Amino acid sequence: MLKISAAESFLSLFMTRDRASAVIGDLVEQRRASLLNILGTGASLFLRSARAQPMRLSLAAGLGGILWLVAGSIADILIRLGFRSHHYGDIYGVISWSIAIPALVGYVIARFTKNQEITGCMGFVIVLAFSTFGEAVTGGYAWTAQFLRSMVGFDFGVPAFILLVSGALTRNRALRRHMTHNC
Amino acid sequence: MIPGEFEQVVMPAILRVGKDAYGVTIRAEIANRTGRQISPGALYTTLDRLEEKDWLSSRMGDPTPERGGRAKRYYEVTASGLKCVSEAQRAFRNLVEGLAIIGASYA
Repeated sequence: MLKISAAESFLSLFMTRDRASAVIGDLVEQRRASLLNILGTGASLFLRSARAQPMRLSLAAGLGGILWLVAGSIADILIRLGFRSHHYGDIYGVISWSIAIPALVGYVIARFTKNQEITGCMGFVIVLAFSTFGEAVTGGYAWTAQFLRSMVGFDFGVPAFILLVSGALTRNRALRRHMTHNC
Repeated sequence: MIPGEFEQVVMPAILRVGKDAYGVTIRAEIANRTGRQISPGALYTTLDRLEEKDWLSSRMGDPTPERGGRAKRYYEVTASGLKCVSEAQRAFRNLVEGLAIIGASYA
């Protein structure tokens, strides 16, 4: 019951409460209220609404920023525990790529098998993994962060990167153009 | 305006189901008629999009126990949606007319 209520709240992020309730009701009726289905439905709705409403992208940027702060705090704790700076980079490089690479492989497989649920989930994970964990390595150890800097000449931060990747995922040319000029 | 490929599947399915068209029955109708097992995410995003285009309208039903006390959202094809479906059907007929497909000729 708690899981279902949490799922309903999760879906409410992407649609009105009564719509989310109807979707969860449908999944319960079909006995399909699995974590994958709920997350996948949420991710699909997120990507769909992101295409129509740039505000949703701002929400993603905010979430990315929060995760960035969490990752930074973990890094601080690790440093206090005695890890030297190159360890700090190594650890976050490993975390970043160990999430991003499986997600990328999953994304490609899901695209080929045309499984929209997994595609949506993996796309979301890729965005978070590449941007949040990559950028968390503020010393520039992460390949992702270095790549970004070499591409644009300066570090333009997590929010802008999330906006760009989300834009690429939504395949909305006009939105991408808008973000490229405004970030 | 011609609806997208999946939209052309969803709207006739809603028309076929009639007054009882909500997520579960629409999905079942598509599976029965086309053999396609569509994901919930794909269906709900399409239903949302069709509503935004004013091709569908929806209303909430009453809560039922088998759904954990949650209400159903019923969908109906609007007049403009119906027009789009018939235009798409006409375009398809024009395209395949006279072609021998699966051993039969389209009239």
